This record gives sequence, C-alpha cells and structure tokens, in this order.
Amino acid sequence: MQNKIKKITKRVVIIFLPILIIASILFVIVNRGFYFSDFKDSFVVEVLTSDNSLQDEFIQNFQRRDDLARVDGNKLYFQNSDLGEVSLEAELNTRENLEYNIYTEIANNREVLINNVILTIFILVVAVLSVFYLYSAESKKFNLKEYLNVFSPFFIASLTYLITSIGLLSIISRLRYIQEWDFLPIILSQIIFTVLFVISFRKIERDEALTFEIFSARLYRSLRLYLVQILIISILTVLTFSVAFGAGVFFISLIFIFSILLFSTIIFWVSTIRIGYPKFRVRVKELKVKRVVSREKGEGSIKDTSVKESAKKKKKPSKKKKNKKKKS
Amino acid sequence: MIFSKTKLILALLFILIFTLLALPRITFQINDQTYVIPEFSIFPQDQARIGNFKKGMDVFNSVEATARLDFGTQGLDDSQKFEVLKQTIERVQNRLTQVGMHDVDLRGEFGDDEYRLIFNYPEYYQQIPAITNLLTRKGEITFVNSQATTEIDFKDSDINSNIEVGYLPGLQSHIRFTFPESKSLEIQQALVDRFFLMSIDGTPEVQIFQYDQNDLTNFTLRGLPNTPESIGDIAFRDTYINILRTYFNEDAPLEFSMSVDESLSIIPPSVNELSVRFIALFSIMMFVALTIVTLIKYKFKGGIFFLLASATYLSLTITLLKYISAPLSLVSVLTYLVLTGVTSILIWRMIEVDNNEEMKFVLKKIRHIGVIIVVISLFTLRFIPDLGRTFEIFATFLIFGLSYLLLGLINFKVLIENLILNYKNNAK
Repeated sequence: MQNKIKKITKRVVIIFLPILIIASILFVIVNRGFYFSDFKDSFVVEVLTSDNSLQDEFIQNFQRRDDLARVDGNKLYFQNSDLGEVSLEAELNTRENLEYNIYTEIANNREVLINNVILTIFILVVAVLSVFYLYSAESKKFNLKEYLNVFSPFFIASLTYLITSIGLLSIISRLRYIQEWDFLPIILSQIIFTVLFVISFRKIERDEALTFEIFSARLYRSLRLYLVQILIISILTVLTFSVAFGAGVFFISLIFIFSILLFSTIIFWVSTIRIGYPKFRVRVKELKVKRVVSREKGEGSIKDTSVKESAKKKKKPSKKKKNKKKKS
Repeated sequence: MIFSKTKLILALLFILIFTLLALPRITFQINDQTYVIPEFSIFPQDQARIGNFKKGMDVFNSVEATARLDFGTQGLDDSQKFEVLKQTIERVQNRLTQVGMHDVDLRGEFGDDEYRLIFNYPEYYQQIPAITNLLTRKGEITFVNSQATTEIDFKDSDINSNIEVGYLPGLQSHIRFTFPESKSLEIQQALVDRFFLMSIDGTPEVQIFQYDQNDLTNFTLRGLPNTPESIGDIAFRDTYINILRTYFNEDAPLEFSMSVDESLSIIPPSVNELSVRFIALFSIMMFVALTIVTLIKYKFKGGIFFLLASATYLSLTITLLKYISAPLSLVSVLTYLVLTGVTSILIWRMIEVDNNEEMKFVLKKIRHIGVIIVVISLFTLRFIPDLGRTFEIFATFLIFGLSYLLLGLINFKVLIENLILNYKNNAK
C-alpha cells in the first residue's frame, strides 16, 4: 500500500512539478521582466500645439532619452522614469508658443497578462490529459512510464517554447514597446503545437507488430512532417507580409513567431532522438527480417516493397565491389 | 451506390447553402441605379458592420470616451485620489467583464488635479456616451413608490440573487425578478399602486410591475427601463439591463460620482497597413495557393476534394461567425488564418486515406480534436475572466471546433468515400 502511494506521488510529482516550476518562472518574468510595455504605468507628454514643425522639434529633443518607451502621434510615453525629471526636461525644451500637457497613464491589463500565462499553462495541461486519454483509448499496450517517455519530447519542446518566447519578449521589451497582442502569436502557436501533437496519431493501434518504440518513432516522424508544413506556411506568410508592408509591426511579430517555431522544432528534433528513433531503426530491421522469413515460409500477406528493394540490393553486389574482387 | 450518390448530392447541397450564406452582400451601381446581391440577408445590416461582421479593434477606427472623477468638496490628498482612481478602474473593469464587453479597453489617467477613466470602444458600439455613463455610475439602487415620493424597503427581499434578463414578445427585453413564496407579502406591499420604481443613484429609471396572471402565481416582477435611449433602442436596452445587473453584484456603490464627456475622439487603428481589402485578397491568395499545391501533390481528384472540403468548412465557419456577429478584428482574423492552415493539413491527411478503416480512424481523430477544442474554448470563455483580446481567439476556436465535430460526422465522410476511396479502389 505504501509502495503504491509512493508510486502515485512520484508520478504526480513527475507531471506537475515541472508545470509548477515553469509557472513560477513565468510569473517572475511577467511581473518583473517587461521594460517597455502596455502592462506598465507611463508618464505621457502630450503636445497640444498643432504646428507640425514645432511638434517634431519638441519630440526630437526627447528621442535621446532611454526612458522614452514609445511615440504615438503627438504623445510621448515614458516608463521607468521620474515624473519631475520628465517635466523639467519638457519645460526646458519648450518654445514660447508650444503647449503641452503631462499626465500619468495607469495601465489596466495586468490581469490580462497573467491570465494569458495561466491560459498557456492550462493548454499544456489539457494537452497532457487529452493525449493520455487518447493513449488509453487507442491502445492498452503502453504503461504510464512509456507514456511519459513518449510525451516528454513534446512536453520539453512546449515548455522550452513557452519560456524562450516570453523570455525573448522580455529581452525585446528593452528595445521595442510590447503590446497586449504580442502575446497572441505565442498562445496561437502553443495551441497549434498541441493540435499537431494530437493529430499525429496515425493508424497505430491496428498494426499487430507494433511495439512501443515503433509507435513513438512513427508518432514523432509524422509530427515532424506537420511541423515542416507549418514552417513552410510560416515562411510564405512572412514573405507575403514583408512584400506587402515592408518592415512593419506585423512583420516583426511574424518573424518573431517564425524564429520561435524554428527554435522549438530544433529542440523537438533533438529531444525526439532520445526517444526511440535509433531504436526504431533497429526494430524496423528486425521486422524486415521477420517478414522476409515469413514470406520464404509462405506465411502472411504483408506487402513491403522496401523489403523487396533491399533484398534485390543485397542480391546484386555493386560494380565497385565486383572490380575489387577482380583485382584481388 | 445510389444511396452513396444521394449522400454526395446532399453534401454538395450543404456546401452550396452555406456558401450562399457565407457570401457577403455586394453593392454596385450601374447608371445611377444601385444593385444589392443577394437582395435579402438573414443577418443584421447596419453602418457599424462590414459584410455582416462587426467592425473590430486594430483593423478599424476605435472610439475613445472619457469619464472624470468628481471628488466634490472632500479634501483628499493626491495619494488618496490616486487610490480612488485605481479602485474605480478595478470596479468598472469588473462591470465590463461581467457584461461581456471584452473588446473595450479601459485605462486611467491623472494630471493637473484631474482623474480620468479612458474607454476605448471598437467602432461597432452605438450610444457610447450612454454606455459609458452607465458603466461609471455609482450603482446605488433604491426602490420608491410610483410617485417617487416614498422609499420602499425592498432590498432585504433577496433581490440580488434573483435578477435576470427576461424576454416577452409584448415587452421585449426586460429585467425579471423571481422570488420565493415567502416574499409574497413584501411584493404585495410594494405593488400597492400596481407598479413601483427603481432608482439608480437617486434617479427613478426602471418601472417595476407584474405583467400577467403567471407573474402573480410565480411571484415574478418585471422591470422596464424608461430612459429615452432604452425605449428607442432595443440593443441598448439589453446592454442597459446587463450593466444594471452588475450593480446588484457589488457589495457597496462607488464612493464618488463621475461625469462623462459628450465629445468622443476617433482613434485610428494600430495596424494601419491592414485593410479589409488586403485581408480578403490575402485569404483568397492563400486559398488559391493551397489548392494549387494540393493539385500538384495529390493530382486532380485530390485537388477537387481539397476544394470541396475547404469550401465546406470555410462556408460553415464564416456563417457561424456571422451568426454570432463576431467582430472583424486583428486577433480574430489572425486566428482564422492560422486555423485555416491547420485545417488544410487535416484535409491533406484525409486525402492520404487508403481504406474504409483508416477513414473512420482519421474522422474519429478529427471529431476528438473538435471535442477538445470545444471543451477548452468553452472552459476558457466561461471561467477565465479578463482575457482581453484573447477572448476572440477562443470564440474563433469554438466555431472551428464545432465545425470539425459536425463535418467529421457528416460531410467529410461522404466526400472521402466518393472522391478519394472510390477513385483509389478503381485505380487498384
């Protein structure tokens, strides 16, 4: 009984502890990390004079300040700065006939930010549960350990994707103003990633010769194919938008999401190597041998053209080998 | 075989009907005469819409409204005023969330001893000053008799937990209060003049009465707002009632009143380059490119299947989005495009099907995905508050989930059987 409780606790810890750790890391990043963003209060200097040249001159005087978060028309937004200092500089920069207004803007989307992070973690948990459900519904051959083995590359890739994307946003926030909708591509990609994982199950349960290694290898091979397709679609989209708009905000966002996808795909590739791809090759060789033997005996009706081809290749030695033989 | 052909014809009819419903109304002029095709539409049409969709955020202009906090003669210092402003923002944001106005942005501003709440509405909102006024009221509710001379003590009647939006053909949208039998005496006393009034911040605005005999036996009261905007505009009346309901959920009214500016500012979209024409052209280009890729990859029959399957889900999802009056915003457009890409991959997977068994397996997977998406979306929309613009992502997801579920059951199966499996069997 004690052993059982120990086992269950171990399993729960394996699944939920990483989620908890990641959630807390994300929470810290979200709360502390964004330098210039929609989620922070700002001091706003609004130029009221309609004279464009005066406006431009006034705005240009502030451009060198490193606390200038963004310029939106006739409004300058400052973050991480002192109101007194900004007011003083505005006063010094003001010509006689220029009017301006200074006020503080209180951001109200902090909840949105935190909820978005909760949501991405929720999506990950749903992925864990739904894939577990699909495993148990489709095949009774695999135990929890094997399931965790199959799931771990996806889990690692998802978490890496989530942390790196939010971490990258945090770094980018020092150079560029982060808005609420900059999070949307991250959430969308997370969802796509999950959906791809679920749709990667292909006619697995009916193959009698199927083992856990082959199952996982097939699963990840089909998932990689889907990822390649998604990457191609992303490249096409980025190219189209770059032709249409040049380097706009939208373009930057797409580039960002594309690079994240690429990165997570690489991580995914690397982590799947751990799970059975080499084993898969070994198993496929074993299967081929079994099939050849059974055909020679006249058993079964498995059509495997690759086996035939490989058999033909074995029968016909290459010209180089023949020449070597002659020389000897 | 004949049965299979009938099913195919039914599937094609399904596609045709939904394609017709999904098409936008086109208006053009020949010799000073304006033609509209199609002439009828089952979806609402007005200035705030474009092709039956609401004009959403980031693609169209938005409208900014300002409400100013009035501290009166109370001598609060700056830090206390700042605290009041923060609390007010929180309260008003709660009201917005409860009413479901997720696409309205709210922020606070203070400077020169002025403390303001700034609302940013998408262009499709009508009666913006009136809505802002309702959202920023203190929310102090009292009940008075029909002449508004005597206060009626009705608040102890558990009224807070029994308030709903009702609909009757004669009254249209109204507030409905349902009480247990034990409260019959209070109801009788309140209705001594056949009706009484509900005041908001001291102004009588809602007339409360019993409509018919059923109300009498069910201990039900109905309230009809009598402000000029809610009498003339039924859509506004719904908003009015929904905001009014939020006052009942609050522990105490707001401490300070606010005044709303009558003048509104128009704010240009944040993504200026993204026009509706570009979105439409981009979507068509994407669709044509994907069809050509499919024709090359899967030959003619595969291409036809892709075309028909895409037409099915595109027309169904667009019709459903029109039906729920979804806003055409940057977020919803982006989500729609992404999901179109994912669905194309699913359709390619369907083309690769070799036999009946595999078809069943693939369709089962699509239905599973549909169920998962629907469950995630419903859970998120229902239980995670303050989603901001992420709300629109999940609304679009919900529509796609529903269409996967529906099409996985009916249309995709017929199309695979007739266009993919028949062809592959004949080739064998």
